Amino acid sequence: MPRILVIEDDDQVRTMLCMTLGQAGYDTVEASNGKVGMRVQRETPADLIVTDIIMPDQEGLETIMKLRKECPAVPIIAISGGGRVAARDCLNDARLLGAKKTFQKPVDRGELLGTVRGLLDEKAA
Amino acid sequence: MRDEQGRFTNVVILMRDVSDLVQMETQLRQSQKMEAIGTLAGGIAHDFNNMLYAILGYTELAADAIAPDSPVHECLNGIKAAGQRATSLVSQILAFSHPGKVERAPMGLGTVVNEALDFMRNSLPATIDLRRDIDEDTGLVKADPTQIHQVVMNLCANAFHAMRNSYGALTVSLRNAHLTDVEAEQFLGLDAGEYVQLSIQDTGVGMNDDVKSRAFEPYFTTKKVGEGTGMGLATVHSIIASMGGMVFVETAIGEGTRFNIYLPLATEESEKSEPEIGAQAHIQGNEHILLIDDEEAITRVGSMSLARLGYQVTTYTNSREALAAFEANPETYDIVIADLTMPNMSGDELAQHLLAVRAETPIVLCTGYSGTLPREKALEIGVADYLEKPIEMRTLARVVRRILDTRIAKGA
Repeated sequence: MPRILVIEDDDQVRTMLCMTLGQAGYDTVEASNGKVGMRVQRETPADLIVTDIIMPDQEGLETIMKLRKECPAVPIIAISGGGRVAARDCLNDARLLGAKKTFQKPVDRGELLGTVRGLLDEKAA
Repeated sequence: MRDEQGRFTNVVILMRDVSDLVQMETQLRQSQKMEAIGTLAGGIAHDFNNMLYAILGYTELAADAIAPDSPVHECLNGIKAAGQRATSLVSQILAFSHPGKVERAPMGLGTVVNEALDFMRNSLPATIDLRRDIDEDTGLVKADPTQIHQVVMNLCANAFHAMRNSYGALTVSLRNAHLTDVEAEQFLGLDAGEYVQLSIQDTGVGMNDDVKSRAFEPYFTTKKVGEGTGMGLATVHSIIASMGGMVFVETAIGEGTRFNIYLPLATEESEKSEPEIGAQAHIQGNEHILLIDDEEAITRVGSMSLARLGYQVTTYTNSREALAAFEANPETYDIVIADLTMPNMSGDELAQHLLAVRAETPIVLCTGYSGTLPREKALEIGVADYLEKPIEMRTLARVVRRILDTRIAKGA
């Protein structure tokens, strides 16, 4: 069963994301910020990572950059609520830094699951 | 005044008309308030999106967990619908506090105002009489057609709303206006000189003083929950102000409302820019263009501009629907223009699918940000060209013509 790491500081969103992915048949591990996320990835490497962008204690863009260095083969999906900084720019930056796909919250469940499946298939191929 | 003995002998009365001052202060307070609300909105939008995501996500999880025939589905659908409405409100607020790229060029407003009215006429009930008094030859104004379109649509939508329960007339006029020193002084914030005046007048219910004073305030609405977001007039105000113009409202209860917009004429040097696209025969054509962009305003303006050059244009705001339409009739379209960043399926992904269906389809990808997909990589996919936004319509038209002409020359 593919494992997905969810890095998100909002407890409710993180739990919901894990439940959604769990229901779709994925094994999930979670982290409440980028720093914890890096540690979790080292201890229990995931096949795919979903990360928020604006977080305390190492935000998403830095996390994406570091993860791409440490585990370049693991695809990353970046999601953001936007607002505090221009939303589109930070998602564009996430793509530029190597996120395979970006979404503005709230994310459509079908689209998220479709993207996860696509990226995992692509990785397996 | 008193005499030496301290008795009153004369009275001096000083009178000063401070109404201008009061009006100026009110206006200043209003613009400061709008700025503050805009900043606040941008700040909370992020947190709202998180909360909405949790609400919508849990709703879907709950829906999966109950029997398909459970009456609870109706409740969950209600939550979902309200969540989606809130989502669209937040995105409007974000658009207000972080306006996107604006392409302003000197242009006459007659054509775009008429096009907006043509578009609007379809949704106009028969009880409303649309009257136009449009001078097609007004002076040039530095404007973005999409924004002018939005201003006209928002003001017309409000006018319809004010006349929804009765017969009425909606009068839209566009003309040159010369403001004398005296008039300019009355219209606070404007210098004397030449302007283009756009007026939108209804014979609806009118506004009382309280509504009038708050009309441009973000989130203020007299519409029912779900009918209006309160962002329409705030957006109009912010667009007009950013163009160096002003919008004024005259209203009377039971008689109607008139919005007067004054836009300064473009200066001499900007008027010397290249002629309008319609004048250039060598970029005209009659081929069928498939235009896809998730922003409806962009497809609308793009489609109008290309149609004006003679092209037949089919537009989609959803890339999946566009792909389905293309798959159904791949031979119908001579060229495809697609935005790169779209929510359902990105432009590069769409391009690959389209090329898989019909390899010789010329595709032009448009992007707002070059970092997302480097040009070389885009061309590797097999697209015919790759343009970075902001794209002038003239440039797009030229690229389209060049690609189509090359294909004709090749006998494709």
